[in-house]
Amino acid sequence: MTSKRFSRRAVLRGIFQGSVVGVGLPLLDVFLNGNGTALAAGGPLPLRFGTWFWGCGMTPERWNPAVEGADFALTPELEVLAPHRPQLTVLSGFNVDLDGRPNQVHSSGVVGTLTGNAPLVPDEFASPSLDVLIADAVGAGTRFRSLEIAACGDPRHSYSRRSTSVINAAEVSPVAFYQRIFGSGFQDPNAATFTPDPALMMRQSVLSAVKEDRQRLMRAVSGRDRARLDQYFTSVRQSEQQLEIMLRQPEPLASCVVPKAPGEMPQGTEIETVEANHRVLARLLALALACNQTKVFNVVFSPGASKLRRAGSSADHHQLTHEEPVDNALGYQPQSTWFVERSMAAFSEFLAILKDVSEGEGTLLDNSLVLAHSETSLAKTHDVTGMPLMLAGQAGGRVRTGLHIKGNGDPVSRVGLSVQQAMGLSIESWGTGSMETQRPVTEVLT
Amino acid sequence: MPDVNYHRILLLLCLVLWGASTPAAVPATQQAQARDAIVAMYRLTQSQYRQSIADIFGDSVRIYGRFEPDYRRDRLLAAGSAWASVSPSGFEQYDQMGRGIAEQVLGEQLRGQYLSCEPNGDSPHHDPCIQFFLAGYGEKLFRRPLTEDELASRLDVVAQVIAVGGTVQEGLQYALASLLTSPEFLFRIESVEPDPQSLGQSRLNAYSKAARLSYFLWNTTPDAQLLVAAQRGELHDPEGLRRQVARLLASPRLETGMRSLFADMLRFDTFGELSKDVELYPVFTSTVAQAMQEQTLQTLIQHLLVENADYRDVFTRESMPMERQLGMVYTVPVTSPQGWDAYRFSEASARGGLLSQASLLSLHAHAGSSSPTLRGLFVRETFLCQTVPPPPADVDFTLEEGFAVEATARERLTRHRSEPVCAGCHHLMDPIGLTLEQFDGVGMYRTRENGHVIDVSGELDGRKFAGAKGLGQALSEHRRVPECLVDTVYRYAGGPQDASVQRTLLESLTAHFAASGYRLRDLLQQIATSEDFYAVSTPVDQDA
Amino acid sequence: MINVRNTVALFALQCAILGFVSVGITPAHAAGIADAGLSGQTSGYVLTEFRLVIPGAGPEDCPDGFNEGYSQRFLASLPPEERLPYEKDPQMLQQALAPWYYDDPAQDPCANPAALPDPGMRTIERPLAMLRMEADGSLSEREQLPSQCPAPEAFAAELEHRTIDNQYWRVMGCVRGYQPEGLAAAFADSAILDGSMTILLSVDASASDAGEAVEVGIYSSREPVTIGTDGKPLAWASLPVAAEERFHNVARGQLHDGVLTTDRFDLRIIQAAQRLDSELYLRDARLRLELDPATGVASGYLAGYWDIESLAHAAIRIQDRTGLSSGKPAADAHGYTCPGKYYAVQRLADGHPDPATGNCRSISVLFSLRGVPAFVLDAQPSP
Repeated sequence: MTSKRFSRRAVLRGIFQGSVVGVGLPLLDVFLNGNGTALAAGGPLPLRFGTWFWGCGMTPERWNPAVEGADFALTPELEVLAPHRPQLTVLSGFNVDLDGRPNQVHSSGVVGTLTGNAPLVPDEFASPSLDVLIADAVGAGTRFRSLEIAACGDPRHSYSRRSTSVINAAEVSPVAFYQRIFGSGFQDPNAATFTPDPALMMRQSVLSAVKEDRQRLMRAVSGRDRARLDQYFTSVRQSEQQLEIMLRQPEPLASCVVPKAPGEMPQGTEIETVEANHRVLARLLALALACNQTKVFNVVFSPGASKLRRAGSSADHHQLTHEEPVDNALGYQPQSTWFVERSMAAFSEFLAILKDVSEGEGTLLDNSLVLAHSETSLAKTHDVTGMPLMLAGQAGGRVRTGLHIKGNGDPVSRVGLSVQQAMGLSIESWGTGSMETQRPVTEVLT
Repeated sequence: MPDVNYHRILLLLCLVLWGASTPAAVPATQQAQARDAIVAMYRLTQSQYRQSIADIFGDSVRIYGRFEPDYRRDRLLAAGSAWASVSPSGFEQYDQMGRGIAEQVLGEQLRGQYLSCEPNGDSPHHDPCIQFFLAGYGEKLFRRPLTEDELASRLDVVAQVIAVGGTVQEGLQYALASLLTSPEFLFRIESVEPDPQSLGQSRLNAYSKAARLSYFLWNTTPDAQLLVAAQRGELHDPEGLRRQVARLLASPRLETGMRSLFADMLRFDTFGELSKDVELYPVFTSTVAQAMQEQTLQTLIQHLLVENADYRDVFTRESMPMERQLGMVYTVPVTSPQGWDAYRFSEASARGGLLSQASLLSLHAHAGSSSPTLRGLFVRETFLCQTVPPPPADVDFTLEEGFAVEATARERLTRHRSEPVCAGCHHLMDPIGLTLEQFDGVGMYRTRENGHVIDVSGELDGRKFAGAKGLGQALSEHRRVPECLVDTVYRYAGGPQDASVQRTLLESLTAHFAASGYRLRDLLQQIATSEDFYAVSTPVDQDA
Repeated sequence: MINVRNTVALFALQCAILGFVSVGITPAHAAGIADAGLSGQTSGYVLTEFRLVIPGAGPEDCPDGFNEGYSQRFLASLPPEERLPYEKDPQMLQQALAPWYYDDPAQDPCANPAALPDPGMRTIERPLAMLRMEADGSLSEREQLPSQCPAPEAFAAELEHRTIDNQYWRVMGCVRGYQPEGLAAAFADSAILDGSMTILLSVDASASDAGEAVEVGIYSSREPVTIGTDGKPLAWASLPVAAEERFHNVARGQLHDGVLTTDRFDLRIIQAAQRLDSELYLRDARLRLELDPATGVASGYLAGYWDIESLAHAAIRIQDRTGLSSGKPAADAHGYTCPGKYYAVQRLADGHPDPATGNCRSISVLFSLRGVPAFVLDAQPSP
């Protein structure tokens, strides 16, 4: 080969090598967006956002509090959240407006809540989910843009999606989740010394070679495939940012503790198995947050049309919501409500796990905002009006808690808009059709 | 009978409302193709990635990482692969897997197998050994020779790694990793070139054809012979194409490819998440779940490839492979201590045909019970290529007290179908599924439910019958069954989506399939050698 | 319009489309039924439970308390002030009592109990109301004193009508490890579950009519049972009988209203568990099985006279697969001594008196058992 062919490259190479040898770090600033700033020394603690999803909704008369404001009483299905009442705001009466589109059962509710759009077909994400929007804005300074966990053993249980087919798959195995966070590539922020790993720089060169294929491909591709390739290269860029962060000395974090590796755990949909997996995954997640590995997370305790079940039972939660008769004496479906109560207990446990991590004057929960949601209100009829929603944590003082707020039939997108504004996104309007709104839930924003 | 008519109308309505329509596509002739334009991209499925790596680097290389879930569309993962992209967490995993593979290939232990020369890191851009290695594996991974730029950027990687203190082997390792994480490997990219035979028209280029053929028939990357045939232009010549197709069909590797087709069509990828109640179905161990799938795949391979038998007869086949663990599900003795033996179910047995296999019965049931509805839906979708809409959202499913304690599924469903809003579509599913009710949630035989004798009468599109064998017989004689297989195999193979091309081609393929006596081998051959199969259409612009 | 309905993700499909099941917790159901094509064949079972009947000592059964094992005896032999270090440090106690395993059987008190003097063993001597098997295969529970070793001629004469007692319980009744909460109960069925001991039954199905003669086979198998997701052995396994004909036992019996009882038969099956590698040899045994057509389960009792030499090998010496004896650690864990047990068995033995010495050479014992359907295959080479 002639040297002429490589003249352009030789120049590039020279710069590259020079930067490595002479400047050391960073290598690929050009590919980073402006949000790639790490913690300034002595700066504020990181602010986190997460979602916590449970399937098959609730029983309206047993879940919705009666009184609005700070003096509401916890209802039977919310009772178990009593220890977290000061950190919790309950939102009732917000609707997913379908605008004449079909109610895609077990899908419209969750897509509507997370995107402000009613899907035309099941699981259609015409725009990115809330967490992706927030991660795009705040997630760039950490190693992982976001982390997803699911307790029922299926990595497809994730509603964190950039589009219909680009799904941030969930971690389901505590062992794999631990490896991903605390395995190779983990930089202990409290380690006495910091030595950038040369292997990380070698990995950067891998990604830069991959990106060189980009121009040619983009010229040759059109339509849907262009969007798919674009997504691919977005993912590559994100990996580059990850490397970039790993090459920087992390800020010390007092609350960051590297946990012991968990053992393998059985997977399945039996309630106790799910609870056990949820517990271990949540603890790892809490430490990943404390160690500032990510600022955004998504938890699926049970998916839409939840298949949670009790050992030995022939029917799962979803089947029960449809088929279990209402007990005349009680006025509700006793077995279905049992699963709702267990789901709320799991959320309560999740919040307790976040509270277990002390941070600054308070806890990890105080520096987080968690949106708990489901895909229906009363699952029996796939009702997407009066969706059950909760906000937990004060987002470092940006969110007011301890309240019950009634939506009175307002679009659920008001909640999504509020969450984005609380997380510092400068948007004024969110949602489409009837769900397009400029009105955040001002009661919760400080 | 008015009742029958009523159902007929609803059935028609369902099929019309929900029946398949085809994505809009513009034929190539109407729109000039850019030179080298990409006309399709398929993200490798998990099994294709694994198989390709095994074929390129051998079985000793292990893959460490978690695959992004494959995406099913129009009933097939193969179809979904034309829509799937790579999420950030997915890329993170591909990156990790790629580095893991490269580390093994260039690690001390195995390096000698892959690197026959001594690389010299002093001047990577001019070292023939480095170039030979990267160009060689690059061609295997990209399924075509690398362009100069592509090779040069990998040589850059070698140089950069050495510059930050790595060895030349590490340089090669990271360069190989960059091939493994490239979109050119992770996606099977189909490109066009000007067609020399018709001016202004495009055709699929030879390497795209080779890859399509190879993934269709072998579910893996093209082998050296196929790449050579592509390079020589033989695949553009009908005779040359026929030769290669004949070679691929004659190879034992056809079995790997067809296993992948059947696993995709029967949704065996969902077995991993299938959960059964441990107390109700203690027999459903992970070994048994594995054996169930293996049994069905072996049955299909035996019937369709080894015996080259009539596809329709698989629905009435009495013999199926059996092994010790599965004997406990089928409640039959298995004398052979290890491995598989053919077991023939007798006349008196309720079992017979593909649909009475435990894999399908388990997959289409709940964790704690059978489900005539899910089973009926599966038959409609998979073997008749029909779509049944999901239940309307606002329907109240709860019926009067006592519903839950009805003795058998038939009584429970009958009450349910008295709701007109449910009846229309449940009528399409339940009468099929009810004939399989003698098999519980994991496919074990029973004659009673809650102490009551199970009635297995049912019907399919106006034909009445009883039991799994009756259903098998009805399906084997159903006009839609062979048509549906043709449609499924065609879409699995990645044939043109253009509606008019597709319609004509499917009609002619179906006719050929019938004329061949419904032999799968003939169908595969017919698809792979038909000119229209390689016709070019522009990609669809809508997002999923 | 693009084709959209098929984008329904799989989970949505499975979830959104209803299937109908009865609601609620259903009891663990039957093991299923045999394929309809298999009528008229012999029905087989694999045992899921095989346990000594050890009813537990009543408040007055052991007036002097339970027996003591080697450790307890050693501690008791020390002045109280010297005990403390051993009680605090189990390792020191173990060392003091070593060796636990003897290379030389002649030195092993458990391999050679008869060579040592009788240190005494507390047994149940008072009248007991406990399960015994009558000659017609029924069970009785009358209060009775210990059986005595009969004269040789008397035993032979009354054998056909003799009630089979459970004298082995009297031997072990005052042993801590044989109480309902003890070690023996904790290990019940573990030999089956861990694959050490697979026992098969076959019942000739031609005898479906009341009172008709049936042939029952009791076999050892060399293949382990398969454990289901509920942790119990699975039904409908295909299991070959062991190749050794010694372990093929055949009994004649009668079937009445789903209850099968057998005539007397001698039984030899593999007795193995953990390190144990031995044989169970019962003489003049009787089997009672209740066959439940709804669940397919067979349950019942096996009574017989346990040959004392076989008992000593399996339950005192505890001959182990490595050639050593596990008797001493086992005796200490349960709380008895090997010679004590050996002499107690001799004393309470109630079967097969030796014509020369008049001493009984077997002791009555009762086992409970439960089996699920299985396919009993002819012997074949182990995989």
